[in-house]
Amino acid sequence: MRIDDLARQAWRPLWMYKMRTSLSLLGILIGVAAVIALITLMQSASASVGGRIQNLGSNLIVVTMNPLVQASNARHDLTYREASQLGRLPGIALAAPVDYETSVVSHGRRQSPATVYATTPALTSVLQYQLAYGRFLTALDVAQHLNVVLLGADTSLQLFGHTDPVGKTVMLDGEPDTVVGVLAAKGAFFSVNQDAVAIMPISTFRDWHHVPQVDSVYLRARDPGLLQTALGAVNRHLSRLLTGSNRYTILTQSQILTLTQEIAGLLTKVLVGVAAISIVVGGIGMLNVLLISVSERVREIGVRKSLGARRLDVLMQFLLEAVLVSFTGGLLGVAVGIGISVELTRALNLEMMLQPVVPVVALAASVVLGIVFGLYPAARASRLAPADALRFE
Amino acid sequence: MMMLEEVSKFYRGRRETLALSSVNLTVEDGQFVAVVGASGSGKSTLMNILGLLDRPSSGGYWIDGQDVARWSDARLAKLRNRTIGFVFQSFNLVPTLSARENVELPLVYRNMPPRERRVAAEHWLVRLGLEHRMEYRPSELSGGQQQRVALARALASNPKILLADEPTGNLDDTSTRDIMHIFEQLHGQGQTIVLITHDARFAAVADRIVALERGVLRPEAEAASHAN
Ligand SMILES: Nc1ncnc2c1ncn2[C@@H]1O[C@H](COP(=O)(O)OP(=O)(O)O)[C@@H](O)[C@H]1O
Ligand SMILES: [Mg+2]
Repeated sequence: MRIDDLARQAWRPLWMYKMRTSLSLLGILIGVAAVIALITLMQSASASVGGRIQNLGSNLIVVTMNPLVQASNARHDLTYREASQLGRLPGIALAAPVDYETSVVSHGRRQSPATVYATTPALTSVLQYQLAYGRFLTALDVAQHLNVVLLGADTSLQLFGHTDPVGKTVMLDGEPDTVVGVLAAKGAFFSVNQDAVAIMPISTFRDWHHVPQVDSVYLRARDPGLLQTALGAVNRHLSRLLTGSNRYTILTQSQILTLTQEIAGLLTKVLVGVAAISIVVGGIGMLNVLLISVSERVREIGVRKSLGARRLDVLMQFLLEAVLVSFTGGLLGVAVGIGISVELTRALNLEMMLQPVVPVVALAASVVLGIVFGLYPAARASRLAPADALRFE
Repeated sequence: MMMLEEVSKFYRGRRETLALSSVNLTVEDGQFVAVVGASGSGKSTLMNILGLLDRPSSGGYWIDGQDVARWSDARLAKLRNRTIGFVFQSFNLVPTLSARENVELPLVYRNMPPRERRVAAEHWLVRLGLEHRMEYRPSELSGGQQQRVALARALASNPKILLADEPTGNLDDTSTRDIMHIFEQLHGQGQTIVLITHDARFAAVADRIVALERGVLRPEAEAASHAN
């Protein structure tokens, strides 16, 4: 049979039986769209998390003091001066002791929940915050135990709207503090909003809260290449300073990154599984439609054979029908899947990550499914003796 | 020339059926043979074997001296396409194709270029009085028109043998007379025809009448008297 005739014979029933054709198209479309949307969503989410961790800088080290489990004579605490001295260790550029507290900052009747970082001027450099208004903390603020505070972008927005709050007074833990600066927005890190913060001098904080030890120390290595040197130095220094075991935990940015990548990888596998299932379900829907279509048309197959069609001609016709449906369905599925991905990533405020290989593979998979699921019923029907096919009711 | 020698056909089903029993039949070129017989006597089975739509369980079949009983499916398909035209009781048009496209179908499987086969199809449709129905679908045609389309399709491939299985079985009197008239004309032009029919008037048009009775082909003299 000529190729143009083959195409015409395959196309005609698809066009004539529009309902049946649309149903099989829909099955494939849903499968492919689901695969693309799920994978794109997953990749966008993990790229965005990875990007935010990267933003912290690949030379960040966080030392967290473990809570005291039982009373002992062991030395387990660090004063903030000792913590600050970690900054002089080889390979370390900066060290910022941090005490945390979750509290509420208020101005007049407006209130804003915030994470309070009681620290030294080094913290904003370690965490690479930028300024929107005013200034950072200074050594003088710490030395003189001044009641000053730096607000995060969201905290400032909630209390003062879009105006410059520098010089205004806010209430924090029942004490008035003067706003000296506002940080530029940084976005969420996991679910922690890095812009709902209040940063104040650790000395001032300790005048109110009589805590003996710092909660953690944020360190910045001079250079990503010096990270291992820095880690070794910190470990040696702390184990000399502190007696007793298991007093602190050290986490580097790359460890956090690896951890989140492992979680993201696991989620991707789960989602790819879900996606594969939905594509197979779409394929089975199509197989169903094709089986009905072929059994309805066994007589037609008999007629064609009586007119001189070979088995191959019949096989090719039904195969081409299946490929046309699955390719068109796949193409529409790619379009719909990309559309859903664009909308979802926009709604979730993620930067969309779509690797071109994803739609290509999804499309190829739908065509392969079309061939596999189209070939089976066609092969079965084409094997009938023409006399048997003609008698079929 | 078609020649069946000691052809038998068994059907394996819930019960084994002997549909044809040691049938010997020779159809000369240009002959018009009518096959009569009761329902279930094996007439369609005989036509399927003559038309290469089914294989005999035993016995030999020669077309123009070629032993076709053992040919491959693909070779038989080609032979069907070139030498045999079918007309069935239930028309058997492809519902998704127009009258013209149905008539072109055997030529499509012969790889004939579109322009040539269109000419051939239109020639036969005009000859059978369907010049105003060429682009209609089967569902838009009457029974008599559908059967004329089917006949045009059988003839467009210019077959050596026309095989018709109760072609007037589903038609009214007027359409039956039309089809009979066309068959007479074709025979007059030398077309070889094997016609299966219940209709004694139609059978009487043939050169020769054979009768099937429970799969056995009756002697022709007896058959002739039977038909009259
Ligand atoms: N595919 C088949 N399987 C089993 N039995 C069949 C089949 N086709 C025909 N038969 C049986 O063979 C006999 C002859 O059938 P058929 O040739 O169709 O007769 P006719 O055309 O004369 O009515 C009948 O008894 C019929 O039931
Ligand atoms: Mg019959």
